[in-house]
Amino acid sequence: MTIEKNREGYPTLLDKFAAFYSRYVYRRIRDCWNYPICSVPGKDVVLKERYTPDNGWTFKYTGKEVKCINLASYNYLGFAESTGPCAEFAIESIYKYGVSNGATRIQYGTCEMHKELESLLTEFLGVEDAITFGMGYATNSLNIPTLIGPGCLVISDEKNHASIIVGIRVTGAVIKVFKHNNVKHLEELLQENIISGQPNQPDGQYKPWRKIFIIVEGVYSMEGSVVRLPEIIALKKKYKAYLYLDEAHCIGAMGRHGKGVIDYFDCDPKDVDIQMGTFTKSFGSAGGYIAGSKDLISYLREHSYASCHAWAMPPPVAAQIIAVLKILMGRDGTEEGRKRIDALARNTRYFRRRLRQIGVIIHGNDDSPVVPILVYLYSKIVITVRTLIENKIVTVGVGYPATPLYEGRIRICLSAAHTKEQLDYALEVIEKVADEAGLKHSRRPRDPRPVEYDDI
Amino acid sequence: MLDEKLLQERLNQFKPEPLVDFKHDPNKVYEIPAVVESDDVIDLAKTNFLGLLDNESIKKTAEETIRKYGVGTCGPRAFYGTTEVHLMLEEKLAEFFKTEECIVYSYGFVAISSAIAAYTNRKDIVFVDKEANFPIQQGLRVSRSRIVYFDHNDPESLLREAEKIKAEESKKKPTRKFLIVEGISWKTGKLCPLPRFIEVAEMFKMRIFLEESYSLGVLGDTEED
Repeated sequence: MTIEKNREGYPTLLDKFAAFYSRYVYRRIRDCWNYPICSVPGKDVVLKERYTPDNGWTFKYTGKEVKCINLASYNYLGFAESTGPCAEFAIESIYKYGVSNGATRIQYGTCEMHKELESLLTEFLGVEDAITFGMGYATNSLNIPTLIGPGCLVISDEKNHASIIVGIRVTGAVIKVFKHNNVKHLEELLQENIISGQPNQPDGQYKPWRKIFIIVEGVYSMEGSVVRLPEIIALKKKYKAYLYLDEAHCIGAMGRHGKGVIDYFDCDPKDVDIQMGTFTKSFGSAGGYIAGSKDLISYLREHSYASCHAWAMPPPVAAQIIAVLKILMGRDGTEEGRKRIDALARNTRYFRRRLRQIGVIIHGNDDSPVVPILVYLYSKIVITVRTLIENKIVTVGVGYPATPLYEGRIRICLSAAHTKEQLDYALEVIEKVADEAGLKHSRRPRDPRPVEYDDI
Repeated sequence: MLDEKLLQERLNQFKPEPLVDFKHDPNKVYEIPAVVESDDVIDLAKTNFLGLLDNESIKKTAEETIRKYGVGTCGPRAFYGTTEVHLMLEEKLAEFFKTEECIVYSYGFVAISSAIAAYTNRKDIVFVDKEANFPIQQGLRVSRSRIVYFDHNDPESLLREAEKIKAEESKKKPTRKFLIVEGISWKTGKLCPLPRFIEVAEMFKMRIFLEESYSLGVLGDTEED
């Protein structure tokens, strides 16, 4: 953290609040974030130990490495691996295609890896076609503006990810925000806006919308909640809207076949007009996709900003995803994919039930591998994260501005790779911290019966 | 109160446009595939200025990196997604550019648009070249700053525009100003007259964004563009 030099007489780069907040609030607690690692982010992660000699202005490294249980990474299916078939396939592709194609998808950057990846993905998702991009964030922020324009109405969940918000802000469409996962509020907004039509028409004339889009996520990364998909599909049909579903945190992690929230609710993939997702989480790779009808995908191939202006997905990144998809689809001739999907589901239910017994407040659906523990106060985020690291467990603290100021939380992401022993140890430490820091806020009656891991 | 009848009437009347106004053509090639080089085929389409795309030692290093860290980081930089490799890269880059610090992004397009949107907001004035590339435009749309265009690669045009703005500005509280230029223009391929741009920017206390996608590693003897 530094203060700008050689800019005397310039208006300050940070406004007053940002300067105060970053220097006097965030600086004192920033040891809880940006901890560098020196290993694969698997079930364990090795931290590069650091300390701050000056209350957070700078960090120094001790030269030691500390191995911790990893409850922080989005490694839902445990595919963050440096050995095994996925890593080997990725390495092979480096020698065959290089680390980059040095061109855009639309002009001379498309190689066989992309073709294979997209055809596998199309089959996996049960759609007509799919297109992939080099970054998950950009999949939202660069494709939404090519699909939505002025004269359209966008109805967006209040907890939608920043990449969606950036994407819809530049479309020129009218944006309405509905309360998180509140289908009733969504319906009210649809009704009101269908009655009113496009705003600012001459002489108060009625002009219907060009298109209406509902944008939701499958699993919300800060809430752990699962979208009420069947009800939203019913609304979209009733009010002739298009549905954009961001499956970043649920593709691979939800549903009996790991096909995301559509699979979880047994919905028809054709009822979701635009399916979006990322490969950074369950797939242990990078990048994102959009899937849907042939018309939609061919349109994006030709017009997406990310196909025309950004380089194609690097071959090893694509190779990792192909290898994971083959495992999930059972194409590798083993039960590995099935096992991992089941292990994640079991770990999730076990951990959530045990946390409830401890008496902390957790948010989200019982089957969601994203588990936020509400600690509310800033200082409690800090004490929890620090004590857990001392006990060799890493978790993510989330506070303002990612959440409202008084809704701080500790977020845990479960993985198929976690063992029961690891989870039991983590629960034991969390219970101790919850006692010491006063995190047992839940008034729900606790089920005293022991939770049997093997029976879940 | 909701007027049920009106809603029903307008809902019946509502004929949304198709999701995309586009028909898939099975006979059309949407993406031109990568060229496979051979004795008779040279690929001049790729950006491979320093011939590093096929460098064996880079491939070897990439392999070693996967063998230690895996392919993905499974998290953003703040949440245990920062590896030693990122720290090393940023340190080397800062040394190379002779800057205090450096931050890397995983996607070129987003690095440009996010950096602009991170520093600028609706109260600021941003001076931009008329031929600025698409990622810059995207960043500006997100920032919602006041945008002032000047003629392509013309510092004198920038000077005129800046003077106009200065005339209308209050003396007490000057607005924060930024200048965005490209080392080599994506659109015209022309080199920007940077020294003069810096002079003008300093006169009006503008902070400069320099976009070097096409000039980095290409211009200058060793390390300076």
